[in-house]
Amino acid sequence: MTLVMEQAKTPGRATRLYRQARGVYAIWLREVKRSLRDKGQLIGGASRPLLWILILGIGLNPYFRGEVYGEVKFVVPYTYLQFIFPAVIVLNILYTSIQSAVSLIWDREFGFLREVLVSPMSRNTILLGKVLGGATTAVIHGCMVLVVARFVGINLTSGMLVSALVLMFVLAVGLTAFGIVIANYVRGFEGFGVFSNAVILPLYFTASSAFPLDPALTRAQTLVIYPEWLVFLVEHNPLTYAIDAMRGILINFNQFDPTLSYQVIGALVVGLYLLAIWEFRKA
Amino acid sequence: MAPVAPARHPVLDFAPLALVFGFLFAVSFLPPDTSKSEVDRFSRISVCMPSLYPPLVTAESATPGFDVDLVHAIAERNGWRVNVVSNSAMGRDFNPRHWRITRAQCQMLAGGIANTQTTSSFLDLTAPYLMTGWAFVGASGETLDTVRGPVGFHSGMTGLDRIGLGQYLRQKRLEVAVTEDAKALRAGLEGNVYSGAVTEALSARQVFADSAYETALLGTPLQSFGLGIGFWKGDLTLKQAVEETLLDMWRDGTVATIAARYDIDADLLCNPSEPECATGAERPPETE
Repeated sequence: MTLVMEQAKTPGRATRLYRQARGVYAIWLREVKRSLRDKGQLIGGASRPLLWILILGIGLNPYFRGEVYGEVKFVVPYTYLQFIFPAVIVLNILYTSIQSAVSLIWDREFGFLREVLVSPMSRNTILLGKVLGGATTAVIHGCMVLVVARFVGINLTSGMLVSALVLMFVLAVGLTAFGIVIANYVRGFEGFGVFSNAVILPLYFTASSAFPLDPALTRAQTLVIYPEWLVFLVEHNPLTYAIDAMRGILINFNQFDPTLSYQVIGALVVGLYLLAIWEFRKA
Repeated sequence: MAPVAPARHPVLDFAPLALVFGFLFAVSFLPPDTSKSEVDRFSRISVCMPSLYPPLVTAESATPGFDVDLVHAIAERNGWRVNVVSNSAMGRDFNPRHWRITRAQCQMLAGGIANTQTTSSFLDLTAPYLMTGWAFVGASGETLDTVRGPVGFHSGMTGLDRIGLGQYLRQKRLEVAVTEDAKALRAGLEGNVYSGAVTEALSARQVFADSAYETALLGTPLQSFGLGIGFWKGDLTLKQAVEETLLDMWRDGTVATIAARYDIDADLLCNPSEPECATGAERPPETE
């Protein structure tokens, strides 16, 4: 009796790609399902538009009305509600993207990450699945803000909606990658929560989210009105340009050159993703 | 062996998410301000309008003007009485900063509120219902390209770009004579002093309504504007109510009937439900 040993065939490129894609899908689905089942995250996603738009927006709206019972003063083609609306979308994306990286700590803590890492999937594939999962959840949370567009008086056209969704997704990819970088350094749940808040809120508040650097003013006038360090922070915060691009889409108002905004966003997303690839090799 | 929890139906995964979206969608229907409820409470709306701005605001009691009739029709449908606050500064230009009006005086502004970037910096505007710009008036078949001899000019609304028009007319090598008022323009045209006339489209339609002359909006490369109803920024509920009423009035032909009373042609009317009008604002001049 002769024993014939069949040589295992090396799978073709298409098969390998298909297997990697299935792996990405599996990780993506797990991330999305887990996020959507997390009631705490959902409540957080819903509370931000409610607090920022309903309470803060309504409260400050009269001061941006152009005039109250006096002469016309503030000259901007939007209301305060409309002004903070795109910023709250970015805030929701920022929070959700960075928080989604908690799953990495979770997986590391319970040994799931080790199991995934020893699977035939490459590290880049695993990272892609995680980033896409986080980005998808973040876009869904961004959509929670878009739902209240009627309340702030923004008529969403299909073109606006598509552009906003694309921008939200691109931004979410970059910010999820950023969350993964943070999760690689901060290994505990509590530490991650504190650290991410320490990053998110300063990033958000120095991104021209709650107050405008009046575009009607020259740079010299701006520096007279605001302290130089604040103007510096606002102008050098990449999130400023993300919020500005979102404002351009939703209320047709830009404080900065829209081309520059898209260039900054592109560079930010590519840079953060490459950094995440680099960091994930050490995971 | 630990008992295995039964698998959850996939739809249940999305139930909390659907609940959150449903809740936020319901929130979006909350009134963001009190502007409409204030008007409803007193059943009265104060509307700032220019003193005279034919055909939008006229001095005739039987035909008080297109915008006056329009505002009365809107108010009637909402159960409000109209208090017209006349403002002589309003007809002079398009910049609301020069009008010296405040929220205490009126809740709504009408009578030639141009949907321009300047105006939208101060006011919230409905989608335009009328278009205006520079118009040419001449004998049938005559245009600015065929006209021979001097052309009469009356500025009408000062908000239109006279510099752009001047450059345009110079490009066409036309001799232009400025007239004091619309009546002088008509007299000059009828007396063959001018071979054609250039003035603001809406006043041209009214001044030459009963004549054999034809009026045509000059359009690009010159600017044209949409005219809408203005509100103080943030008065969303009032704006939405007026916009909905305006749409209803378009659907049942009320706007067209009012326009016919003032000889405003259909080509100057702008249905807010049409995307071109809904997007509204000024149409900038095209560079040639």
